[in-house]
Amino acid sequence: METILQEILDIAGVGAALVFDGGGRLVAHRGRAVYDRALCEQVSALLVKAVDSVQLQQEDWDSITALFADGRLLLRNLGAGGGTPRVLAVVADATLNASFATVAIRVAAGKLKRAIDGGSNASSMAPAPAASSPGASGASGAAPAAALGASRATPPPLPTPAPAAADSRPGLAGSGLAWSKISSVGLSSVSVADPASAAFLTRASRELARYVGPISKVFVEEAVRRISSDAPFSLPLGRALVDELAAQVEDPKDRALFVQALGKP
Amino acid sequence: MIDLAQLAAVPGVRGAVLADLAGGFLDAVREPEGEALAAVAGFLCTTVGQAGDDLGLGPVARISVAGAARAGLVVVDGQRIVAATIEPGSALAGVERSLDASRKGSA
Repeated sequence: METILQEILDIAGVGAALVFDGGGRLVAHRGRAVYDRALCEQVSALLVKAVDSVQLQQEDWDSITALFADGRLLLRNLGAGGGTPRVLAVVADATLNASFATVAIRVAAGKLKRAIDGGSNASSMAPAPAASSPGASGASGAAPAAALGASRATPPPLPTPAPAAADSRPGLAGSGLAWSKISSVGLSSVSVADPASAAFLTRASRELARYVGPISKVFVEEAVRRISSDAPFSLPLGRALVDELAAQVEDPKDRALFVQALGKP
Repeated sequence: MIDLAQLAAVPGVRGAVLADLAGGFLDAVREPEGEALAAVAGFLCTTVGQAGDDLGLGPVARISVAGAARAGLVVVDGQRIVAATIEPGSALAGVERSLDASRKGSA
């Protein structure tokens, strides 16, 4: 894997090439001295969140290209060979020839996919030899990868949520939310069993929005589909839903407040 | 400044959404999932922008996403963003060229 990353690093304008897994852990990297392992680990943890958000809308994404004032960041989906999703990230400055680099990186991504699918994961995870090119900081090994969200903390217990208003769309007015009462595969609607369940989803989205912003609605919809894929969401699933959503709140104190808020009648 | 209607009129654009950097929905053209797209686009800009800061790349200007079924484009314009869903294939490049041309024209 390091050899392939070195090929990318040899492209004019490229400052670093790294591979991270679905847990945001750095699997391997090659880069100029400024892009050391610590920085690449830090960036991997950020970029996996970006990838997760894209996958909410587009699971089949192939590439993400970010244009900055002073450079570019190119991400390529390496698939989930061996059950672990991996992403190639290339950091480049403004001198990058984008057309040339696109082709070269596509070729390299293909090689990386084949290497991963071919079972060379184990060797790629081992500590790598020192970098051979001047100014390169070397490649890095990493801890064994885990699937997305595998390390999420378990939130404290939740009291059973109380039934809410009896209106068919309680609490939805002015909230911008529209939980559907019929089955749907769209992102803006999920299936609910009754008005109280819809009200609970609205409340959960509002509370979660305090900590993650407007994307809370998307998180709620995704969580409902995970815990209630075969039947409409109903209040007995409230605790499981909050457990799922609490994992999206990074700060433990905030997480506890979130869980506590949804436990109130 | 990015004009939502102007972007939505570019060939290959399925729909477009105007949002703030926090992902708050402001307006949409031909985009039934406007709130969800705005939220995702805001979150994407924030996280990618943070990564760019860490890497010394400066502020993020544009993010494109390509896939087999469709493509997407997010353009940052001050405190606002415009996100567009685009036909797959070569349409993304065409939309980016159109954006670049309109920006040069207004500069």
